[in-house]
Amino acid sequence: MMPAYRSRKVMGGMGAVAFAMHRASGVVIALYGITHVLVMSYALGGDVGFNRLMETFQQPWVLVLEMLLVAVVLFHMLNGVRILLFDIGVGVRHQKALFIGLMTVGAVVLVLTVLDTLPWLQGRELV
Amino acid sequence: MPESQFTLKVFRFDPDMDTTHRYDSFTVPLREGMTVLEALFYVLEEKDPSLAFRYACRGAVCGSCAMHINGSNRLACQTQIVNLKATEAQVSPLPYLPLIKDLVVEMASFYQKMDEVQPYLITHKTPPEKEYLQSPRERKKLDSVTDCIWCAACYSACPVVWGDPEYLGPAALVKAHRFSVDSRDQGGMERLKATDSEEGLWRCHTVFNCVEVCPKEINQTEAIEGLRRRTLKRRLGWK
Ligand code: SF4
Ligand code: FES
Repeated sequence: MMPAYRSRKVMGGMGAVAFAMHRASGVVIALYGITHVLVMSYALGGDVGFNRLMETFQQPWVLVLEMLLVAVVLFHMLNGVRILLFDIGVGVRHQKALFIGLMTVGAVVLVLTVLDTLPWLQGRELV
Repeated sequence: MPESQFTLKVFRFDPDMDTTHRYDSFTVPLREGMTVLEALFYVLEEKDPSLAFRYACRGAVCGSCAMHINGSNRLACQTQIVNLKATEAQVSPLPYLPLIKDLVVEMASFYQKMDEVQPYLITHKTPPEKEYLQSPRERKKLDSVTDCIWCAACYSACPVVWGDPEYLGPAALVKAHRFSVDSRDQGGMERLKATDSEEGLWRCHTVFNCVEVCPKEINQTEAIEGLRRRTLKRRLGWK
C-alpha cells in the first residue's frame, strides 16, 4: 500500500458540516431511543417504581438535556427534509440557502419550545 | 518581507529516501498574475530541480495539475497567488490518492473508475450516413456536464471515496449522467450495470465537497441525483 497525504480540510463547507452533523445527530437519536425504551420498560415492574423514577426526572438538568434532545431531533429532521428534497430534484443548486432556511425554522421552533418549558425550569407548574 | 515576495511551502516525499513527508519553504518573487504552477516552476528552475509535479496544458484544460492548495483541491495553473489572499501558499498532493513523489499521485484507480462507466457514446443501430443530428434543446441538456477535465479534484475531496475505495466517485457518475442524457447514446443498460450498484450512485451522501472544489464548476450532486431518478424510473419500468 502506497502512502497518501491525508487532509480533511475540505470538510469545512456547509454541505460537509451538514453531513457530519447529520451523522452525529443520528447516533445521538439512536442512543436516546435505546435509553428511552429501557426507561419505559420500568413500567413493566408496576406503577410504583415507575412513578418514582419519573419523579426523579423532574429536575432542571433533565429538562436542559431534553431541550438539547429537541435541538438534535429538529436538526436531524429538517436536514433530512433537505436531503429528501435533493432526491426529488429540488434545491440541489441552492443547498446552502436551503440549509440556512431550514435551520432558521429549527431555531425558531427550538426557542418556542424552550419558552414553553421555562416555567418548569423555574420550578412553577404549568396551568 | 517585501510585498513582491511570498513563501511557497511545498510537500516533499520521496519513497526511495523518506519514511515520512515534510514541507520545504521557498521564497518566490511575485509577478503580476503569477499562478501556483508558475511558482512551482520557479522553484524547479531556480532552487530545487528534484521537485516533482504534473502539468501539461498550463491552461486549465488537461486536468494534470490538480493539487491541494491552501486547504482546497484546485488546479495549480488556474490558481493565482494573489487570489489565495494569504502571505503563504501551501501546496500538497491531492489527498487520499497514493503518493508517487512530492506532488505527484497515482491516478490509476480514478481512471479505472472513469472507464467503468464507459465514458463514450454507445450505439447499437447502424450509424447514420453523415452524422447524428441533435437539436439545440437536446444539446442544451449536456451544457453543464461536458466540461470535466478528469482532474480528480472532486474524487480526492469526497469523504465517501476516502472511506470506500470501491466507490465510483463523483467524476465517473457525472460521466455516466452526461452520456445517459445524450440523445445520441443507446448505452443506457450497459452503463446502468456499473452505476446502479452499492458502490455506484446510491452511495453518494450529498456532502457537496465535489461541487465546492470542481475547477469547471460542474454540479456533481445535481448530476448524481438526476441519474438516480432516471435509474429509479427505469427500475420501475416507467421508462
Ligand atoms: S468533475 Fe470537476 S473536479 Fe471532478 S474530475 Fe471533472 S473537472 Fe475535475
Ligand atoms: S496544467 Fe493542464 S489543467 Fe493545469
